[in-house]
Amino acid sequence: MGVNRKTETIKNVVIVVLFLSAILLLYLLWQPRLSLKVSGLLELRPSQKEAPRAEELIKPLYAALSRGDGSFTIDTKDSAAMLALAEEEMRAYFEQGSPQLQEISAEQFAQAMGEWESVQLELSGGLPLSDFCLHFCGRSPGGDTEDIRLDILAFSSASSESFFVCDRSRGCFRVLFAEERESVASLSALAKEPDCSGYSASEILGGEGRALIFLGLASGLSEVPFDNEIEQKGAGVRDRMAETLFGSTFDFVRRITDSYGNVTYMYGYGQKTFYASVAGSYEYNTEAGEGAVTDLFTDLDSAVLFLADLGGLDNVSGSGLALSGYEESGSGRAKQRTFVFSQTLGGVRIEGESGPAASVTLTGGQVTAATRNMVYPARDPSGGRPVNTAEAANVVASNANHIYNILNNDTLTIASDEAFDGAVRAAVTLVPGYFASPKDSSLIPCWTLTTENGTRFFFDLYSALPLGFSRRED
Amino acid sequence: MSRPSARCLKVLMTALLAVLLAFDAAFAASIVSPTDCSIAYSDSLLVSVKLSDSATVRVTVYKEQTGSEKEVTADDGSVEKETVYSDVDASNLTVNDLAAIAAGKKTDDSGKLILLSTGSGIPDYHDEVFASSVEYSNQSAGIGFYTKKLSDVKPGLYKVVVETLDNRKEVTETVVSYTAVKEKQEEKKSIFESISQSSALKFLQNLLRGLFK
Repeated sequence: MGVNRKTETIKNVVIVVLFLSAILLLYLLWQPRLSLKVSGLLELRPSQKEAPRAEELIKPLYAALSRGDGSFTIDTKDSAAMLALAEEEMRAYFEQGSPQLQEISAEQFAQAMGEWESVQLELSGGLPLSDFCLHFCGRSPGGDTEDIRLDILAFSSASSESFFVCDRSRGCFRVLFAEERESVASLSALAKEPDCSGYSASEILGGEGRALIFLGLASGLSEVPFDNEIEQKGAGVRDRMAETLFGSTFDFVRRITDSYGNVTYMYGYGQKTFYASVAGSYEYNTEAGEGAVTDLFTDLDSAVLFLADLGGLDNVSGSGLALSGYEESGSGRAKQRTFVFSQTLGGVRIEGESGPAASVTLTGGQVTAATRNMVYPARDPSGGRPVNTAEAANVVASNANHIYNILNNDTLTIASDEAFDGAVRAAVTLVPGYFASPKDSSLIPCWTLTTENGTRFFFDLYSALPLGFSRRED
Repeated sequence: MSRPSARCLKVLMTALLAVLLAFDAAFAASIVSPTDCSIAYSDSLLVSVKLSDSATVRVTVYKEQTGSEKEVTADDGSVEKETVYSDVDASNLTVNDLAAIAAGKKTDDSGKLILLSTGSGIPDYHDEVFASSVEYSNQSAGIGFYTKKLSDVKPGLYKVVVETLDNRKEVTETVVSYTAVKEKQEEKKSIFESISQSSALKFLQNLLRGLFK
């Protein structure tokens, strides 16, 4: 009877364990948003492809350091490491307690950057300050920072107990804490390989420009041919993407091919559509379902994973991905977030006239729209022998009429002084990049000039001749 | 207004505008940096010259020196007078001093000696070449810039001279900019007023913010 007792006890224990694990698994299965990775496993998706972490995609365009004499040193290679340290510095600041937010004038900001030792990180991604601080520092600076976008993150010895934030459409702010920190010194120590000098546009060009103009940049970038998605992966990539979106059986899915060869897949009466062009660009739209409240970085993670599933995010020839834009609207469960991504190569961003490399829109935490238009470079141009580039000052000066005409939709020639002043005032950033030229199928090294309203101009990096421009889609 | 007189008026206005523009576009070259009669606290100098249309300029940067006569004894025992040049001590020059130096006159209209803030008159300066002449041509039809950053700049009085050259390399115009470079200031005025609030008020603020978040 003892043996029977023992086996009965064992059986009881096994039953209880199985019962509890059954309940636990059901709970995980029915939880709406426990964690994407867990629900991903349960949905039996094909193996998760390699995807970069969301935080790695936030890369500064450059870092500008000043010793307080009005001239800046520009560093692009070490700027990612400096951003990581800046996030740690911000975390340390927030550990001191809640900050005070003070709005400062553009002149005060320019003084704090130019006349004191300072470090500026040009982010231009437009992430909201409150979400950024919440993610990296565990705390948001407060209710009135909801609308402030992080275009520039800066530290200055003019005020060692604070860090500075600039939102180009709203102004500059000082986030003030109780105790001082040696942020500028620790950040400056990371700048090991500076690229060139820089001066504010008002100093080099005269007038009222606020952009930072590089001086004496030498670059090793050269023209690189590229393949589009279809040339790189074959014609089957379209069907593989469609299978990922609609399931392998294509139930209730219609396929429409037009005379050029562009294919549209449509589920039902249009609730879900997927458009694949012959040029290797893709667009996906779906109706929003029952959403949930999510935070920005969870959505960014979802966006990156979505792109990895839909075509992959391979590092061909050392190319990478960077967050280059962000928009949001709505609130609560209907909150809509759009992330815009650009590819990077040789340390610079690839831009073109055919739209961004990728964009993903999430509504209530679910992907409701996405576009994809990636290029696959044939080789890695890093390590090329540096050659003098066309001076940034002259890129603006010699193309001033062109810039002014495009910005003002005006083709009449006007006095070159007025065009020049207008172009200088409108310029926000002027940095090296790659221009994706579809007609040559190659990436051309360029100067990328971004203006206040989001219009981008591309000029050849070495000859300053115009290559093209793109307007921001409203 | 009748048509012929309206046309006549338009022609007159265009002619007037052309005349005014002609006066306005007098100088093809202008020095954007260093700003004339400015003081810089740096060990580098940004030279930026703006050319308004296609032109060729020659840019030279001089460091001003003052000469003093010294008696030098030669080997054979004879005493000679030699002029020894030394850098100008710019540490006490003010913006007004620079304006006076730039004006180029030692006495004012009534014949009185113009005094600098140091109390002395304007000395004769010797131009010592700091950055040798560079020729730059603006190829484009619009505006062009010559830019150069000069490093290892010691404190002193500097003069940037931009000469516009014609086809035969003759100088047609000259633009000059004086700048005084001084040692970096140790004390700097604070830009931001300190926000001091009593801790009780701060506590209340944070409490309210937390409640209504």
